[in-house]
Amino acid sequence: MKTDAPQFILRDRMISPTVLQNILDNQKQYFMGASRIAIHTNDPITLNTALILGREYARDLLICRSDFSDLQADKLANEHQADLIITDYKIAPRVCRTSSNFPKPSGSLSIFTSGTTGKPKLAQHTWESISECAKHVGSTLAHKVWLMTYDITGYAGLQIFFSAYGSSGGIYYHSNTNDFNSLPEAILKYKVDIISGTPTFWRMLINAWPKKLPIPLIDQATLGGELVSQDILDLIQSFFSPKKITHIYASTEVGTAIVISDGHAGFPARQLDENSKNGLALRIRDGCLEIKSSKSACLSVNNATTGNNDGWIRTSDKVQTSGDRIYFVGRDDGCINVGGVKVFPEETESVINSLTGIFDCVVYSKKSPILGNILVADIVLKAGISLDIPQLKSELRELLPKYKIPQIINQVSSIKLSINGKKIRE
Amino acid sequence: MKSKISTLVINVIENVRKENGVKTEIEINENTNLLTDIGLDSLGLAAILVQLESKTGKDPFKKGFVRFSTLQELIKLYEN
Repeated sequence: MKTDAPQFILRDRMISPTVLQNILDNQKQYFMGASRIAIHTNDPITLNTALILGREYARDLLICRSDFSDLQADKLANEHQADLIITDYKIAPRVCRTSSNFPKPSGSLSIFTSGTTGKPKLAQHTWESISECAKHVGSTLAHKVWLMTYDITGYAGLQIFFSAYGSSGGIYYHSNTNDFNSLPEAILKYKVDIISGTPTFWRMLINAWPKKLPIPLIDQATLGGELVSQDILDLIQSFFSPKKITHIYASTEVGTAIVISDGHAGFPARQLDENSKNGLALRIRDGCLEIKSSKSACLSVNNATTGNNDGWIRTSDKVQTSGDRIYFVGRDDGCINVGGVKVFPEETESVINSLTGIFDCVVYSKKSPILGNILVADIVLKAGISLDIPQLKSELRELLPKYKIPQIINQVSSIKLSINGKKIRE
Repeated sequence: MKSKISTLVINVIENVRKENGVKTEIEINENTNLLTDIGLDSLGLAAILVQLESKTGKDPFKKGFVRFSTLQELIKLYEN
């Protein structure tokens, strides 16, 4: 075992297993003395130590999304009756309780999915199910260095953490926002073996690779979070020649559902099986994929898709059968996937409409070779107002995360409506 | 020696930088790396491609993704 290998690397800061253990020993007392802990941080060490301790002590951990404001995080911690809130290195008890007083935690980890408008939805997992991915890391991939490309507070980021930590591997963190500056050099310097990212991330990484820099041989390339087409699989294969290339279909609600390593897009039709083997069943209804997980990867999500459907969750991902293969072809619910971020056009529309000078708007998607899809907004201005795109975008940056801001803005005189009076988003 | 296309591409880049509030002064030349040197991320780059497609009527990515990282490489895609 590479005992001297760093556990985590944050740019040039290496955290060895010894240092990590010191931090864990210091933080232990807080986890022993609390039942339900909220965490709001961008710092990987703060989060990772909370994950390790939360699991060890079977606490209820509530992970706020990194783009929440302090106010939002505080509000959520209150709503969910957290008795401790951790923000970076500060640990703030919320309620004074003696250890005999607090309710026994159910031992869960809750993360937020992006909801439609307003409130984000909470998805609750057991510690076992959220960390189960470690079991699927083959023995040849133990003790490897993984690259973190995802938001550390989202489902995909957590899967990277548990897969790496659970296979005695290390993780390299380059930046919080995908910054491709000097990332190729860092991948070589820290001998990254496993890279998992969205197709958009992979396209950008390949584009950013300096011509003179050697290309590493990586053990495992994984894709997820966006529709995976054959061309991105072929591009990664030809550029990096990874020993293995895998794409994963997963969601925060259901967990990891489909794992394909045969180098082809889509998945084999024979995987459609209404009778679940190993806890997972797949079927197609009305052109969309439906999943039933008997292992209850997700204990509860306050949404309407579970319930009456006999346990089947409608993913809203449209599929098409071609011979013995099933391909993903888009969304059923109007949700637009912009570089891995799921955006509901209605949400962006209502924010744009809240600005002065805007009469109405319609937001829709346009295909992008870089991001998969980008947002376009057709805006109708109030009388006498002229379009100032830089000003408009700067106002939107105060209100929306950048992926939810339309990349293209057009001024139009009116918005097309369907016979039912609904906006046409084409 | 600037071609029509290269002037257009540079204008689109300046435009997208302006729309996204990128204020840093930069010198763009043919070897400028579009991913790391112009203050734009993947969103900005995607916007550049949309504007170029609408202004030139060409879509060099119709058949799939094509690698490009410098200004010169991008210009070449629209010159064919």
